[in-house]
Amino acid sequence: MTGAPTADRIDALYLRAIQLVLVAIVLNLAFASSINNSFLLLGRAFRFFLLFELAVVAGAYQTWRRPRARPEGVAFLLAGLFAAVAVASSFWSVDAHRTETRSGAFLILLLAAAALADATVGRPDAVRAILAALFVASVLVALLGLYMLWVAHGQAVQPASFQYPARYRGIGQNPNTVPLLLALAIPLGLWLFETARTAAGRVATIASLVLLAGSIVASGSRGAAIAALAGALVWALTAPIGWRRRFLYAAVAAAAFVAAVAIMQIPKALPPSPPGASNGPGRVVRDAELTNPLADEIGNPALGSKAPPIHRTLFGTSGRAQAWDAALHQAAKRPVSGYGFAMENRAFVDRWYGFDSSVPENSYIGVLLQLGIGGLVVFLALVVALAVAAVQALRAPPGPTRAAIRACASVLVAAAVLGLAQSYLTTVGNIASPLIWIPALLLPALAWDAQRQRGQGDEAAVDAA
Amino acid sequence: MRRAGPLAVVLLLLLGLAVLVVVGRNEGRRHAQEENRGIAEIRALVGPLDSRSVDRYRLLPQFSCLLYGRDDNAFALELCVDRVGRVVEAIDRRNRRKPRIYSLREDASAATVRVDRAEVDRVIRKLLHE
Repeated sequence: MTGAPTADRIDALYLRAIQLVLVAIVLNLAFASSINNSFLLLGRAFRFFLLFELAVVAGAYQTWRRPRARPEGVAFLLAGLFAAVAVASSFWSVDAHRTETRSGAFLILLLAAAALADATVGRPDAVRAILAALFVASVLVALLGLYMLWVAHGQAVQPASFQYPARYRGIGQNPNTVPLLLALAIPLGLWLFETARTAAGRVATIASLVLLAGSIVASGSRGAAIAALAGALVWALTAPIGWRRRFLYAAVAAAAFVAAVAIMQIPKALPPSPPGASNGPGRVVRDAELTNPLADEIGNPALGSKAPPIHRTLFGTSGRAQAWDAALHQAAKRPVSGYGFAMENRAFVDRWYGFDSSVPENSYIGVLLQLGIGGLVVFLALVVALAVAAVQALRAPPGPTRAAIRACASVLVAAAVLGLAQSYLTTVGNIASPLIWIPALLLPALAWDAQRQRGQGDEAAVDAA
Repeated sequence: MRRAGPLAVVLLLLLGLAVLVVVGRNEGRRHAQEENRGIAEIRALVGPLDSRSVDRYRLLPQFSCLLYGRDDNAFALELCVDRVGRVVEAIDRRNRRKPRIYSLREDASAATVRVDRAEVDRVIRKLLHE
């Protein structure tokens, strides 16, 4: 009789430890992606250590729980296969050491996520504790952004340029860094709001959601706004309510998105300088990087290009289309196997005026560059397997398990959509990596459990008959 | 017999990975050869590093570049050399609309075309003092 309460206390202690490590990891990854040098040094020193700590705590929890039935699914196999291809790519990588360390870190993250999925199978409350920790961590990152705005306005806001208006970046390196995380956290916030047990919990969650959405709008990150909308729509359209109310929720999400886009259009880029205003004396400048920088070589109107000037629009690519084209040409030089895991920023060279990034800003093209067609096929198969698991799991009867499935599926859809505009899905040091891969591997375990419960229900019905 | 299925799958996957390793290494070698061939071609077009057509330079953390003019184009040919003298990138901009770019930036150790780095530094110093 005394065993069960002790076991419950140990279980709660494990979950609390996992929550703390998860919050620490997300904060640390945010520091490691910060514009502020002090945060940056702090984050870079600890990020992989904390990842390793998560794997140890999750593995210990899994061992202690000793689940009688292990979740199975093609998604787990494909995740393992993708990690294996990533590790094997160190044999052909242009920087074997970097590929070894990054693919090792990616493998550790997947193992930690799989251990959490295994240990929490059949226990939606434990899943809720894990996902709530990820949401709280995201809110803390958004609050740190406000703190940065207060103490160092110049760092928290990227000044306006001739191409871009002033954009809020909080503690992130650029305006798109933190919104990656916040966009994925929004579906989790909707889930926590819906399942909050107290009025105070609901108020705190709605205030947090306003903070996350406000930070995305202020950043002007269009990809994050679209991804947050996609996640919110999946959340609304899979709610266990009538279709009329589902469409009402979806319409509210769409209206919030339209309002966000309208606000994003208010800040304007600097007006172009009058011709000849910046002309210096007629002396020849011998440093070509001052007049013809390699990073702006193609499409620069100042160098005689006839390309039209770049204007930011909602579905405009901000120079990404040219960068994607170039990345595809670069990938075609090593088509089957790519340049090696974590080599995206080495293989891709930005030569396009109007595009400013060391990566092509598309996760799928990024995987193609890193692991070639072979790696991309495995990665897409994994995405499809997760989507199939989600669709099957959503047939579960209403309840906490189905709510957790909806939350994970919404995060995954948001992550997949954002992957079209950002290179981050397989970057383990990225601020959003725990928020992608932990729900990603919780999802097939929840689906497996829902299917098992349905099977048991059917057997019981047959027995009763 | 029931264990034979999973074992076969594992063996098949290992075989697939082994094939991918062989293909990957082969692709890497072929890519480096092609880029080196292009770099060598542009290196030959440049001629002596300190030729009279050298007109500009570029100093970057990864490498330094020398630019050579042709006709009215001061940026026509460019050679980028790392700290040990490997030519890691070469650009032919004689056709301004469609420059030819050969690069091994991502894997400088695979670059086989070499120049005297001291000579490159000497030419850059000369341009700096002009």
